[in-house]
Amino acid sequence: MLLHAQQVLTPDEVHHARTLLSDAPWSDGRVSSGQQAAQAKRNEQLPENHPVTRQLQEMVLQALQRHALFFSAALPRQVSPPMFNRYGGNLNTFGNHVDSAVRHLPGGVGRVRTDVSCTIFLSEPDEYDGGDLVIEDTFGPRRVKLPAGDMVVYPGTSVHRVEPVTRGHRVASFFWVQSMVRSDEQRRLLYDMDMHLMHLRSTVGETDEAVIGLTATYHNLLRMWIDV
Amino acid sequence: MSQRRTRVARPQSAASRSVPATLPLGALAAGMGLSLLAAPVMAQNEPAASQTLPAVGVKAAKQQAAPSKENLQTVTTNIGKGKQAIRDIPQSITVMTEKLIDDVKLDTLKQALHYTAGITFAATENGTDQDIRMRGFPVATVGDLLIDGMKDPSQYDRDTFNYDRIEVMRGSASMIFGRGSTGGVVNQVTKKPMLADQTDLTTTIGTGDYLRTTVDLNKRTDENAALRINAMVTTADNYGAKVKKYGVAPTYSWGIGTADEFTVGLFYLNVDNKPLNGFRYVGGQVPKNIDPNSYYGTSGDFLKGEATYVSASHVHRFGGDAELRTQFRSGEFMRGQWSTTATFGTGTTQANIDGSTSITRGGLTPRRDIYNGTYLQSDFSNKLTLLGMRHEVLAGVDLSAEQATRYSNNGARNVLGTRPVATVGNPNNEADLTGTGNRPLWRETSSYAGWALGAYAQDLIQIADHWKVLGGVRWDRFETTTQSLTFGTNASPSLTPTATSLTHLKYSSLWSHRVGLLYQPTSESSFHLSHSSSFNTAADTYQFTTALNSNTPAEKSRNIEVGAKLDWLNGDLSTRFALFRTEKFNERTTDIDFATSAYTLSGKRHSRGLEVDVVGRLAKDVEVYFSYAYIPEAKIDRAGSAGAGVGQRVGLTPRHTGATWLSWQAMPKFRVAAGVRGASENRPLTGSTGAASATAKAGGYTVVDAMAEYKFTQDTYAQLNVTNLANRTYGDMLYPGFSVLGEGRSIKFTVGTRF
Repeated sequence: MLLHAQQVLTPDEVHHARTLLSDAPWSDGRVSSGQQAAQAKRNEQLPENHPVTRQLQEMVLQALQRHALFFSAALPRQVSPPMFNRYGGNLNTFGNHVDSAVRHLPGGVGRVRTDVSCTIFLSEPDEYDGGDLVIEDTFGPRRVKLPAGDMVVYPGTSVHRVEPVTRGHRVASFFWVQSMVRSDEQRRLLYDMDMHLMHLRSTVGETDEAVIGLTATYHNLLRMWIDV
Repeated sequence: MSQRRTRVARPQSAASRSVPATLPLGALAAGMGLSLLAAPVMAQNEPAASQTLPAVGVKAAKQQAAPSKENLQTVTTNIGKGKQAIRDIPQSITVMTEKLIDDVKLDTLKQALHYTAGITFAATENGTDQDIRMRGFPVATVGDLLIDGMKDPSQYDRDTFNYDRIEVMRGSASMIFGRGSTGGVVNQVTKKPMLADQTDLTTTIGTGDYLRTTVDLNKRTDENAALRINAMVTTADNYGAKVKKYGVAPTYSWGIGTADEFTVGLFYLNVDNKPLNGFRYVGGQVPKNIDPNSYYGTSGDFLKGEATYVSASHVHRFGGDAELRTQFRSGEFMRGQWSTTATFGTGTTQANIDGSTSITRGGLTPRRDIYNGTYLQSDFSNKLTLLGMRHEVLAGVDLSAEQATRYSNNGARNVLGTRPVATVGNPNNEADLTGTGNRPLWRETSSYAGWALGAYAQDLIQIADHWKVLGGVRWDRFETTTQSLTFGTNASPSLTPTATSLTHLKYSSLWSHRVGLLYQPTSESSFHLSHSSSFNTAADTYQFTTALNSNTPAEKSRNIEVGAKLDWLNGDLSTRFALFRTEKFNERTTDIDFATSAYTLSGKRHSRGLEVDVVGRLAKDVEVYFSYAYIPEAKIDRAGSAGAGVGQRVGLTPRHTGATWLSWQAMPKFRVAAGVRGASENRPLTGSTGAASATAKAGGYTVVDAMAEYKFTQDTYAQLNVTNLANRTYGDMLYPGFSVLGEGRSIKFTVGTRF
């Protein structure tokens, strides 16, 4: 499932992030990728323990807290600390790769299974040329290039790439989620059901018998599939 | 966007993203809106072990506090008017964040400035304690103290309760700030509202009946609006040198982060202290065997101060990086002081001072002054690409209208009383004055009114990979009128002056510049070479403008500096180095503290030296702040016809000055920190040139401050501070005749909480 979550960050949060990132100490992104991905990776990242990174991580996590759809779609159990990358100049692309299955957190404080990948765009689409996030979906390639502040949520299992940026800079935040529901297919079904139920709950009402029944079904499916 | 974007039902209020009325079941199931895990996310003073985020359990994240509260290190500054990376400013810069201020318990600006190198304090016959020197040049008396980048020239006793941080930029900077700024500027950055709900409460008790309470309340009132109120009350008996002050500063911002952001604020500070204005030298030196906490003042002594101002600002963001920032401040600042200096009986030597040594108390000249200042400035900044090169443009105009009125005692109506004698062994005896005049009766002696207009433009151009060139120029126009009143000794009525002199001073066009070259081979390194100029008008001091000097052109200074700003450990640690030469090359041959009657521009003095700053995190649980200056040479090169002092070292410029603060998170809840600050031998200014005194000096000193902090919870802590651990006696503020001792030992216990 590929989800476009709009306005995860408010314009002022985007502005704040951009201001801080404009003079942050970017470094080569290959420090955080697996061996195979490192061959393909040509971008810059913010060091994970830099004060600016820490400040922005907190801002992104707070923003996620407000976003109900993200919760419904990802059913997060753990979220890895958001990271920040930049494509442009000579370091402008990241070829086809799959994210490592396990993300070891800095400082040995834990591991996150990368069920769900997320990217929050921090540059506006007209600020740079190229730089599409291309996700090889079961239905073929999906090209994603979103307004600043929007987020794409997609399965960690997909092969994906960032195409070369030929003008300007593409700045983004990316992170992974270990979901309470491991299977992308199951998550997808739950999410669809949840969305349709939301529509019903707000039109038919919470007390309608069918709504109560379907809500029970949702929870029973969740119970069947969930690891908490 | 993709040809087949997954469309989802969006809650109606997604734009404001308040939680929709109907929550998805999955969101509820995943615990949204509930605190499931107590996995703290980088809270204040988070033990460094978890400074790298743990995987975040699903819980409401902690509010983001002001970064200045959490870190000693900062990477951006507003001291150059626009927001800039420190690495892009080709001058020596020190920033003291609120974290350092809170850690060390720096209540006043003066205390805080002891933690930055190259700064010393003069004492004067009127007992100011804001007469600051940097690199051997005056700061406060020439309007180089700033609030949010705009002048703050009065002499009131400044408190740190509303500071987000203190920024010190060294070297000539008239191109940014107009007149003054030979040695550099000190910028007091005030706290601004944040989009968060957070209140910090602290209470401190300490030796000398010290009690201080501060509140820092920030409330998000709307999606883009917030209110922040800072308030402070401090009282102390301080063994006689009493402190009584309170302050409040509400600030409201709306449109935060949007295209149009507005801020309005009020500030009020009221200070009613009893100072001790020092001891005469003994054998040309600071008395060694006196407890620095001894007070030999009288019941008639006071230091009153009041600062009241309104401020407003507006930022317009054009989209992209273009920004227009307009600021306004208008206020009144009052200071009145009358205090005592203690003179030891004849025959006193360093060796024979004991409890029976007699002390004659002299009253300094009482003085009161009121400053009114209204400032308006507009700064435009933008980043753009022209002919394939990146430019960061900064341009602006500023306008100021300032008035000052000075008062002294009306001697015809009020003969000041005499201070009784005392002995060393009987301090703080609450002596009353003999005679009738136990407080001054104020009478105006001079007034000043002036206005200034300035405009500047600066461009920082990326001329090649890793290379940037900075060029800036500024034009100033400046006009003042000073009125001096002279009174007869027995004039009746005593408020009618026997003579009034009006002096008009006008500079229709003054130019200053700054040029610099920056080499930034990596994101962790920046090397700079810069040349900047500044000027001082005869009216910089808001006084001393006489017919004699109103015809004198402005003094000129230049600053040449080469330096490096290097980051280490993934940016966790910043180091900054600068080699400088600052020169005032056509100086009026008077010094502002010693007005005489010779005004030529034949004077010249210079200082050169090295400044080092280290700030940041050495290891995950060790934070460091270090500021050091070495000024081997500070010399009077030429003076006027008197020729006094030529070849001598400049006064108030020790060879070594420095401070460091090291903090170690020993255990997850327990942190210890200690600091050392000090200076090598320091001598007061003498004569009309500002040369160092040949007869009086304060020996070098180092003082140790220490702190221990225990966190009961993420948000509640107790803190123990000891200032001047060894209770060292040292001369802090110097005058040719006497010195004011540095603070003696004090112990303070603080409890703070955030909710």
